[in-house]
Amino acid sequence: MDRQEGDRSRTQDMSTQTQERPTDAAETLLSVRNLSTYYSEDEADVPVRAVDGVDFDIARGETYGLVGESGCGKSTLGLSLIRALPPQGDIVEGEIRFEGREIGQLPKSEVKDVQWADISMIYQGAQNAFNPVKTVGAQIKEPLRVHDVVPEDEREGRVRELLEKVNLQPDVAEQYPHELSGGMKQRAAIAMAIACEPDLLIADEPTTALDVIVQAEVLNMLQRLQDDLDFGMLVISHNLAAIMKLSDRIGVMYGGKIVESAPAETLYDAPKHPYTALLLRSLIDPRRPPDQVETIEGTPPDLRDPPTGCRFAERCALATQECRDGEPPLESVGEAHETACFHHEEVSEL
Amino acid sequence: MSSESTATPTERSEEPILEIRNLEKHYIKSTGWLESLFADEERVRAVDGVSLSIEEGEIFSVVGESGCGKTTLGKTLLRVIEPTAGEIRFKGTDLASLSGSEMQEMRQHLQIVYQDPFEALNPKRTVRGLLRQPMEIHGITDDEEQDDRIHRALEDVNLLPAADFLDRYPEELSGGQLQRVLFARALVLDPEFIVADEPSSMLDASVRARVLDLIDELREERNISFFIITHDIGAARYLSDRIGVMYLGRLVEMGAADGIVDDPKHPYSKALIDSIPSPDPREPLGSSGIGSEVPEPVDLPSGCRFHPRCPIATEHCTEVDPEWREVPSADDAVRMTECHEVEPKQTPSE
Repeated sequence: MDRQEGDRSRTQDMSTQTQERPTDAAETLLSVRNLSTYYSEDEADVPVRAVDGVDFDIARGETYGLVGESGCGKSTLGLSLIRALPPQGDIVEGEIRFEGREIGQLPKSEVKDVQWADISMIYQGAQNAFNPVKTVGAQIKEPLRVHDVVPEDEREGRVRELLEKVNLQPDVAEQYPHELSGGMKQRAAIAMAIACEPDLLIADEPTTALDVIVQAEVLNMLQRLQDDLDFGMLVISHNLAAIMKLSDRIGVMYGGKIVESAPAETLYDAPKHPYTALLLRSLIDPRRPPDQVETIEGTPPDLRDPPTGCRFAERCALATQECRDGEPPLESVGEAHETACFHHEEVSEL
Repeated sequence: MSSESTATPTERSEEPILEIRNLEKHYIKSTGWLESLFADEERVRAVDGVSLSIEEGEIFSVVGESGCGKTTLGKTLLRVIEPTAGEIRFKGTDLASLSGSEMQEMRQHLQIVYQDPFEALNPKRTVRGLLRQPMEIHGITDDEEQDDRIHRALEDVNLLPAADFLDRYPEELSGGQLQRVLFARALVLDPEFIVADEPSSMLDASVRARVLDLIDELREERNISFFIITHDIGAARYLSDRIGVMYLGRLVEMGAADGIVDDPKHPYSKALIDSIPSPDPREPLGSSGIGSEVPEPVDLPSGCRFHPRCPIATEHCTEVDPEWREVPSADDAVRMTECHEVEPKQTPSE
């Protein structure tokens, strides 16, 4: 049913798709405004500003890819949306609207209604997160029970159906996690995440630590499930190549902020932030290996004490005094394309 | 591999630095004693007859899925774990014939760098302490000599200025820096041959290139030969002279790095390479076409061990073991594979 929709937004020429891009306000599934999530051990501690003023939207059925290096805040952003932050983490500012409802400040008791049923997450390392002493089936059944989405006597059957959806034999339900390979466990984690038919699926590093063959299988599976079930998807990964494939739009995160966002093709063809450009050049496509792979010199900023100006300035060849003095705002530089760089016009010359 | 009486085509006129013949590492799967009374012991053929030779100054990578035996091969060829059978010659010396203390002495020249820098380094030691440790073990106790070697090693891995790093603890270093400390730890012994297990897989793309370039520099400047174990085929191609593809304990294909990726001959190599996503968002997601479940190397199928997953297997493949032989290759380099469906190279003498 949604195959066409997905294909349309992917293949249409940029200039003609203005009206049809699924970012229309009417179709917005998730809307995040000025979100900041900080970590601190106690009140006296200087907080780590893991997510620091982030805006973005995801439309129904759309895939938004979030890419960046370790420590840039992308996982924290995902955990904030599903309200599953560790105790040290706190949403200190901003708004998370899901289907029009503000969920960023929901009390804990109500958060449980949202988790799994409305928003679900394939956590990083999910293949290792299963309880070793419970069968896979019992664990997939858990969200079905909590949210009472199917009557008790039908849950067994529903678990089998879910396993089939992720290409696992139904009798995997009776097996224990250690009896499954890494790839099978990851598929079981996906089955669990879609059990209550969520409207938004967050996948945090869904392919990391998996072999290429399993990676390809998981990526194809996520794409197929989304086509079937029409959920919006937030894919978080440092694997730029994989995320490029899966996503309609991509947000590049650096030092707690989204520094560029654009449709995947636009980002690939003409990045407008120096960090994005360098990330793309650090990729190695084995079929077209570059003579020299780019390294981004320097280290990411200390998020306890981020610089005043652009957070990338210290590592950036284009940086000027302007960049060190003030923070560049995220501004429109083209169709559905935003970047936070004073020198975005020079990025192509980098 | 079939044991050939003549020299294999991979051998050049000079003596290789490391040469292995029919190397095997089998494990007996532990079962309860009661079970063992009734059942035959299960033999896990982790490495099951591998022959190859590595030239001085060569970078050789072995790729394959988890469980294919590549890490076991890397450890076995340095006798970090004892081989079950086969020959390992390091500059002509048969390592298998060495006594414990002789092997210990030899190990200075043959180092292994493990994959996870966060796990492999004792968090309670400073960089200086971490680098001293291997020298103490090998009887290099003179302070001046130690300091010289430490400085040179840190310089060679670009941790500069070296003095700034000596008193730091692992937690004060980034992932990329830790990875380089691991290399420095091998370098203080001035080795001639290094096995590196997934040297770049734990790192972000932006720093991965730096580690790959480091390996290349060490080869250039110190004339070290490398055996690299990786599932990152992009990195393997970028870095290596030759690539070997491993499946269920055996090499199934081996040849020049570019040739293996551009024109793989064995159906398993093809499947591996087809499953790597290209970063271009317009190209479809890759797919291996062979399913993702790797059988355990216990009950090996008859005939070619890849036939149950092979898209082109014939009746013949289910019955007869394919021979390891040279096949024609467009790149003029020696290409070896074991597949009935790939025509062997015609030699003029036949």
